[in-house]
Amino acid sequence: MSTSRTRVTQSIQQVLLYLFLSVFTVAVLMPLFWLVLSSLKTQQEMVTYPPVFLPVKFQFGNYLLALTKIRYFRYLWNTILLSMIYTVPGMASASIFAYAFARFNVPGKNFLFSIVLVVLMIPPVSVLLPEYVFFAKLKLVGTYNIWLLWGLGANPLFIYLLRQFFSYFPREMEEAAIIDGCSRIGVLFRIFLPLSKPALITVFILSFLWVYGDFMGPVIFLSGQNTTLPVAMANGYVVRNGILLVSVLLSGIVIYIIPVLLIFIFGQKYYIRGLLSSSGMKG
Amino acid sequence: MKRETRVFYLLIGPWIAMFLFLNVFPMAYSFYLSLTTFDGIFAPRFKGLVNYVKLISDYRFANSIYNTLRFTFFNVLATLVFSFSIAYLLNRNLKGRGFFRSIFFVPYAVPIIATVFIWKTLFNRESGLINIILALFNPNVAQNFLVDLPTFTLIVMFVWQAGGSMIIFLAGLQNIPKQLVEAADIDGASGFLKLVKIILPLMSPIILYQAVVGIMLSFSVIVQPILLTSSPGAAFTAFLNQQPPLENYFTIIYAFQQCFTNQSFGYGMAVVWMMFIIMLLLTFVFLKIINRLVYYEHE
Repeated sequence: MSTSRTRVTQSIQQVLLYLFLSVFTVAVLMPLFWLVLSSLKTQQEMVTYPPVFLPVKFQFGNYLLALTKIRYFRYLWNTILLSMIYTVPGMASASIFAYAFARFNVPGKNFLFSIVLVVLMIPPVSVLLPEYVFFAKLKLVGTYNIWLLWGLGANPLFIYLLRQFFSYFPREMEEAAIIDGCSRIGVLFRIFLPLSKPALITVFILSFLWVYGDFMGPVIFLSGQNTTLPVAMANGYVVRNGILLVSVLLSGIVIYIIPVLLIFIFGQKYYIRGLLSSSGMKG
Repeated sequence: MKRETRVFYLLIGPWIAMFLFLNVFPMAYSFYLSLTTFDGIFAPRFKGLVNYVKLISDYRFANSIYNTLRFTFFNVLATLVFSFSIAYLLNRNLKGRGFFRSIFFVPYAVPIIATVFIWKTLFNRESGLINIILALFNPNVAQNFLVDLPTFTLIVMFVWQAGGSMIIFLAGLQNIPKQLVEAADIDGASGFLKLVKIILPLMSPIILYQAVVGIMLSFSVIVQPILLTSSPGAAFTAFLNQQPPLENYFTIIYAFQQCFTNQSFGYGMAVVWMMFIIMLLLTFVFLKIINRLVYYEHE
């Protein structure tokens, strides 16, 4: 008797759980759905009261206007270029630093690594102002060199991620290579990196999206034609009398986030693993 | 020096140099500027602690600190409770768990500007979906969220993006040894008892870590409050001149506006440094209080 009763309670629980999760799924996805719907409305439909759920006619013209009202592809190119300027040197230097932290046993290492861990916790935005005054003094403001320097300095998260990944490799592997005449740095490039594809993909995705989605960095350090797409969009879709073309802006945003969602969907496996090892757990 | 040490410092040397260049020097320089008056054009003039003394009686600064602390408290609390609950619900044998996990994780990847304009549209008084839904229940409860409940709006946005911490909690929950929970099952412990007596203590280091990161993140929120209520058409350079609603006027916004709107970089740097000090003190006090509740396995 009692077991069948628990089974009934269990299946009721199960049903309630699914119900809750489904409602929740709708709630989580609704904003994205609403973004697409709104991007297809007319300017008038965006401000009418009572509000309309569906546009009378899908305004695909908004998308064309979004691409032509500002120099969309130029800013998109800037954004991608900036992401790569940060990501490519960033991956190289993060690999080297991570390798040194993972595989050398020397005095001072733990102290230096604890600095990496502290910097890891500091949100980049909070140090933007000190960086601004310093970079302004060095006449770096307005150039992409800042992103190059940030890349070369290596994001602490990426150092941490790669170090974790490297530390799982068996020591015998590199010892054998060194006996065969491979140098210490050769071990990194010939053995470790080719075996670290998942970790490198994680770092690439995180790094690329980091710059691609950034808003404050370009606002502070770049201007005019040099700036990135999010900043250009936030400011560009305005007609002369100061009215924001909301649905055109939203169309621009839809195009802007498509690559993010694609990278996310196809790279999610790595992305999640990356997040997990950053918090010191294995997925 | 041993060869091993030499090679290590050869490899790590560039990192040390860049760390000094990108972190230490800017911080040191900004601290020096906080002791001066500096308009960004003429040479800074050394004034000692004048800026810090001025901060004490600056009610706008005090107000911004109050707003930041209030936002931080509710934001960290809401994000943690929410992401932990979802992770807890997903941490069982469930068909489609991977599917739900992916769905709840999606918003985390959405860039900041997209997030802000999505929620700006959703919360819009006239045409927003939230008011459409509210009107289904009662047409009179329509709210002007962006203006009347600005901090609430902001926190909803952050909760929507809490998928990142959910993933970390979920992984933590899966690392809890099965035997512990099974032993409690045999003893007939209820679900609630298991949560409070086993799961929460084992998860406490992760919760703590997330809370500290959350505090630091909340102190650096600047784009969302400004863009959520910014008036359209403001020239791009004027982004930082926009006034968010009073409750969302955080310290970091005040610091940026002192620098870029008022051209008082010296005072702005003093605001930043004061913010750092308060942030670190808060984290420290938080750790002191909470450390008694945290269970570390190796003890």
